[in-house]
Amino acid sequence: MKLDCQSCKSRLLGVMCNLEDSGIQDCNLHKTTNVYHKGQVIFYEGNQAYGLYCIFSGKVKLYKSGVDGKHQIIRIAGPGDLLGYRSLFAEEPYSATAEALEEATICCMDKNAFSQILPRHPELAVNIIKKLAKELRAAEDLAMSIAHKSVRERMAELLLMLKDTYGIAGKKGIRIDLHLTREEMGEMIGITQETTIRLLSEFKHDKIIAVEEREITILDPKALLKTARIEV
Amino acid sequence: MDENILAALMNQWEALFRAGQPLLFRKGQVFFYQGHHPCGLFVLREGRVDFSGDNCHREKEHQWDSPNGVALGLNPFFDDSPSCCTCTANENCQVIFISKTQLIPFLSIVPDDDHAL
Repeated sequence: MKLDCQSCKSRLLGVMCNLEDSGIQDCNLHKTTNVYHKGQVIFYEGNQAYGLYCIFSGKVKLYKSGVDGKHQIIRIAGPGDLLGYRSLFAEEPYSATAEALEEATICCMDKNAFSQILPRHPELAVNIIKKLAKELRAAEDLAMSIAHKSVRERMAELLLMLKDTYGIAGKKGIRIDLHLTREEMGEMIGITQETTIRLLSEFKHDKIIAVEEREITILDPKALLKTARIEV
Repeated sequence: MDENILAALMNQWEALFRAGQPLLFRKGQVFFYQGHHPCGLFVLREGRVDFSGDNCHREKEHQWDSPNGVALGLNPFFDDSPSCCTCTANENCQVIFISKTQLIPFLSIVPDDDHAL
């Protein structure tokens, strides 16, 4: 499969948005594009990093495995997002496993190509630093949330984040256009599948959300903000 | 092929191998999937791999006793074709990864007819 970075709309969403033409040509020369089916793994936590990945379409979950085998989802990535670059910078193993949540088209650039391209394109380096700063902030917020918020507050916060990132306005409310299992939702905020199901039932009962065929629609975002103790 | 060219190619290959990145794939981890274009070669140093896939020219779900030094993903890489099978570590595997970027200069010196080297 060949994708041209020049005409790639997803590139404009990510850190490569303002890459100069020569950089785009470099990327085109060195990248490889593949389609990953749901459940296929792009890279594994603990393996030495040998490439970075740019998502053209689809969604990918990044998770860490605990000693008990339980997963903690640390991020959901979508079109335009880069995966694996932190490990390349740090010259460390991948810090998480990346797995396709749905069919995803992903370009891979090997470590050697990235090492050659980055020094020639400072605009890319600046964008990556900005992205790193945002991810650090998100990781700090998540750590704070897990340490100080109740499970109900965390679930409200998660639903708000999903609404803001994947929400599509509809007649009833804002539908979350991302198919996550209840287990995966729990893994995002460090709670069990059973607790996730219970909390969603409570929110449904309180008419804060609607659930139809496992699809979640946010009916009352203000109530979620209040539950999550988020000040607007 | 001319002996001098062959010797030059072998030297290049050894240089590539030395410049490659050592990686460990644990049991059950996938090197590449059926239908994928490889982003480089995995030269097996230690361990065994499985090949599986509907169109695999090897037997389906076949466990292949791979000799050390074999380059996984070689044919798809040189043919610029998708891999016919999924390659999975059957046990912990030590490999040397040679990236596409490292291979591009090597490809330019290999005559077209000898890509199956």
